[in-house]
Amino acid sequence: MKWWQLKKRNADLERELQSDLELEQEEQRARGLSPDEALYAARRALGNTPLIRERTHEAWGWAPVERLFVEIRYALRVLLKSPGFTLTATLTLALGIGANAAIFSLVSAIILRPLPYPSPAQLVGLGQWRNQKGEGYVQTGVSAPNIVDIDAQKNIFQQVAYYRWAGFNITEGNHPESVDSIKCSLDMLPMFGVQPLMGRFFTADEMRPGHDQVAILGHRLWQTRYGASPAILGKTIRLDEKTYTIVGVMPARFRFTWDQEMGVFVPLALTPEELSEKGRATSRDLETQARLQPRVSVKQAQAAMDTLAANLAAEHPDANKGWGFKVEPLHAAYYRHIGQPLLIMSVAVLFVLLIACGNVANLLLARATVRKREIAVRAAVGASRRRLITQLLTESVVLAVIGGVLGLLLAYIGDRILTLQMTHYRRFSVPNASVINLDWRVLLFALGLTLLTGIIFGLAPAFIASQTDLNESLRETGTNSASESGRRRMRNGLVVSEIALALVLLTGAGLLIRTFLGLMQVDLGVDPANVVTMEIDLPHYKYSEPANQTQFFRELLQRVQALPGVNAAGIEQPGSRVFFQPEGQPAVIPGQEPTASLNVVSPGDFAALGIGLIAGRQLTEHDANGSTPVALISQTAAQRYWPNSNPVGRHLRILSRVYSGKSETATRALEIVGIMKDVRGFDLWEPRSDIYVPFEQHPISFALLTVRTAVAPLSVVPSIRDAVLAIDNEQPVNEVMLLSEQIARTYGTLRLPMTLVWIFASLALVLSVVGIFGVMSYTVSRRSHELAIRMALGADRMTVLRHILREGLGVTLIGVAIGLVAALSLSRIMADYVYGIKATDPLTYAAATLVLILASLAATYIPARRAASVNPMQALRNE
Amino acid sequence: MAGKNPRANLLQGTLDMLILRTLLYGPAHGHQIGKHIQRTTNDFLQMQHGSLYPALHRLERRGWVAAKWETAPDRNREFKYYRLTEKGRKQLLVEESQWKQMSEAVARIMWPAAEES
Repeated sequence: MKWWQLKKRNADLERELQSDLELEQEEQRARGLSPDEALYAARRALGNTPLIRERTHEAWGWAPVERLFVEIRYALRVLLKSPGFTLTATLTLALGIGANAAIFSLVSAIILRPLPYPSPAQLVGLGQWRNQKGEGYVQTGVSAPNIVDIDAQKNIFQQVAYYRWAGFNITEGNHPESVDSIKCSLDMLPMFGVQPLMGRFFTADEMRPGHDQVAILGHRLWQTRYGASPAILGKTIRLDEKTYTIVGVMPARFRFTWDQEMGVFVPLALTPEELSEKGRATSRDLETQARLQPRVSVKQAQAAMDTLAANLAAEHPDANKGWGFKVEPLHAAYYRHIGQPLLIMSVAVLFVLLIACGNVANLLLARATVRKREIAVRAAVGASRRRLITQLLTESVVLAVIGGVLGLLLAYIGDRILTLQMTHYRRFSVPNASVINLDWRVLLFALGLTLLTGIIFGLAPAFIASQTDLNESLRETGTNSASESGRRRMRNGLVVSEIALALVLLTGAGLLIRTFLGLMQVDLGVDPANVVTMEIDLPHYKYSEPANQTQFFRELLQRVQALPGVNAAGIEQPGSRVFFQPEGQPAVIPGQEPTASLNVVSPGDFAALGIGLIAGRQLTEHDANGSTPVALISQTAAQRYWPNSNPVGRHLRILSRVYSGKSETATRALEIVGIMKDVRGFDLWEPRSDIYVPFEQHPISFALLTVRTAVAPLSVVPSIRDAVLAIDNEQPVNEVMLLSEQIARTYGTLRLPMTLVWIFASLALVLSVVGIFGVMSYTVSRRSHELAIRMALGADRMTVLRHILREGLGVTLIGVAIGLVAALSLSRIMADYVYGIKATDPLTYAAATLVLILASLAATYIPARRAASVNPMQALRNE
Repeated sequence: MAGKNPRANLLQGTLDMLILRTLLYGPAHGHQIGKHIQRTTNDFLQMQHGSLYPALHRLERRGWVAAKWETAPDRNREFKYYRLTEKGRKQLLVEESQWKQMSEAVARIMWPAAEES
């Protein structure tokens, strides 16, 4: 029999019993009884009908389910009868469960959801790394000859693939359009286990320079620009003024590096130089990924790579000494930077839920006392203890389920907000942020959490409530008994744990806030007021000669500086890391080269950004091509590499770029003419070493135009655009942004996790204060009799007030003590996220403790005052 | 409460068998089965009709009896008639032989002389 037949079955049984009754009645009447008497006799003969029904239902085998439904119906009825309690409890739980589900949907989207490629566990990221003096761990891509050596390890890797970001402009039609694009190796796309929607992938032949003018289109570009034309194959596309033949189209679902929608893929044809021995040091910018052989673990691959790295360092010390290889699961490589913040948020939000559970358990305990008589009556008419506990547990699970449903609603809203925030702050770079939603994992998690919380906060109160002494409970009085003191201990225990958890959260939030405030006060080294920046990228097909590039920027700066409202203007190409050799130091040991960020600037850049000079002189127009090559260095570089001497007048030699190894200045020594104040870029946490060189001596094709204005900065942008177009009427200006806005965004990426933890901590504070308020109020109301006697015997109001406050304070202090120990032992996970203070910062701990103690004293004060204002005569009469 | 009546206790274990045996005469509805057992035992089992129904439904679930609403031959109304299935017949044989073994075993202890004679 199936459960959905229960209803029909039931009707069937009723009819059967009814007909039995009627037959019996007829027989009795035939014996001469009156109709009424016959009915009674028939009922007697049939027996106890509710019992029969129950037994028959059991015979059907669905009795436990039916009983559950009865319990749930009863629980709902009981809960509806006390709407105040139900509302408080479900809202509290909804907050806890909702916040957890929202954070878990982050975990699900980022960590639990596998990469959208077949056998994703086989995919690994490969990188080269070294331990850089003064800067710590530095990771780069893998150089081309090293990739060839790695690829030779066929027992470890099925494929080793690499790519470079390309950033093409489509230069056909009316307006150039920039398109997300990458150059990738032969195996890159096949490695992701994808097939082209149309056409084919690249061939080995197309990986040779000169044969690489073929392109594969991303699905969206194919749809938007070519109207999903089926006849696209064989047509051409102009990218940066070069013609490529379209050989394939990617399927709609394909995303590159997990979540990137690419417009164009072209072959990455390595030059013979990159592939030569020289390339070992000059092509470390290849982003490299690989697919492991089946049954090869990441650990085994790492061991093989360690051996290879040692061999390569011995064979090619110039390029490879000091460099190791790192193998890590590709998925983990994508979320590595966000793992720790997620852990912190998850712990914080779990604490909130635990506190919420504590509060609801307390509410249930208080209710159990009120419901003592009801429970006693049920026990008296034959309910077993087990049945009572089941019933009480059903009630708490029903509460939790209502809370869970409301919580999912909150989580849904939370997810939308999180998605907005995370896609807004792109620099926070949360992978997969666009798909944060309530997927099946989150729903399953929420369901599990809901049932678990229902049982956690319900079990102990149910046990205690069901433990009734019938005699005592059914009598009106008898409030103080052994079980009463057990309950009080439990209630206090709950509050103590709530306070401890709240303190851990408060200290965590306090550390983050102090970190944030500290970072706000960091001297950025620039003056962001009235500064606007924009990107100018000269296409190399038009400006292939360095002289043309320099000429363009020289003319642009003259025009912009002459604009009304402009105080200063400059250009800069923000730093890329280089290895360099400071003069007057021992020769560089391979693997120990100093590094710095090399910034190519114009003299006006420092005035535009407001970067101050510390020693020596600034750049001038005389530092041009043909005159002495010069450089400025930042304060940190000066301290780090010329620790006990004045670097002004000394020389440095740029060896190579860390990533690409290219350097046109490798042979020239640069004279250091000045020291600039430190500037902090996107990394607010650490000052970095900078080298500045003039653009006249180091031609660039891409630059950030920096303009300081006397008027509202955005108001000069149109005339700047005009100035650009006056020089080259096709040259676009991109990414116009206020410096202050950029800085705000950088802080914004920090603010999001901090805000979340802060919200959780506030919730925790409020919930635990509500908890202590509830417990103290309850204590006072239970003890009004005792307090009244005390007062009748001469205790004054202050004494009573102090008595209650002391009791509340006692509970709080125990909680605080436990909380401090817990917070200190958890401080390790915060260590990487604090700035300017230690994760055990005493001030933060003291402040959090103080806030908590004051808040709980305030919460105790209200019931304490009520207790003190009791009229003893009245209280005693009420007994 | 059943525990207070020794005869009802006895009934518990054997009720299934008694029902199956009754149905050997042909299909019957609950009231008829109850009446039959009462009359045949001269009301010794003092059984309430109601206690039959859980047993009947249990037997039905096990497939030993089949039930169907049918119009009674002698009057114009429907009753739920139970009839013995093949499985039920076999079950009856099993229970019968178990009961026999049991009562013989009990008898041998209770009245040993009777066996010797």
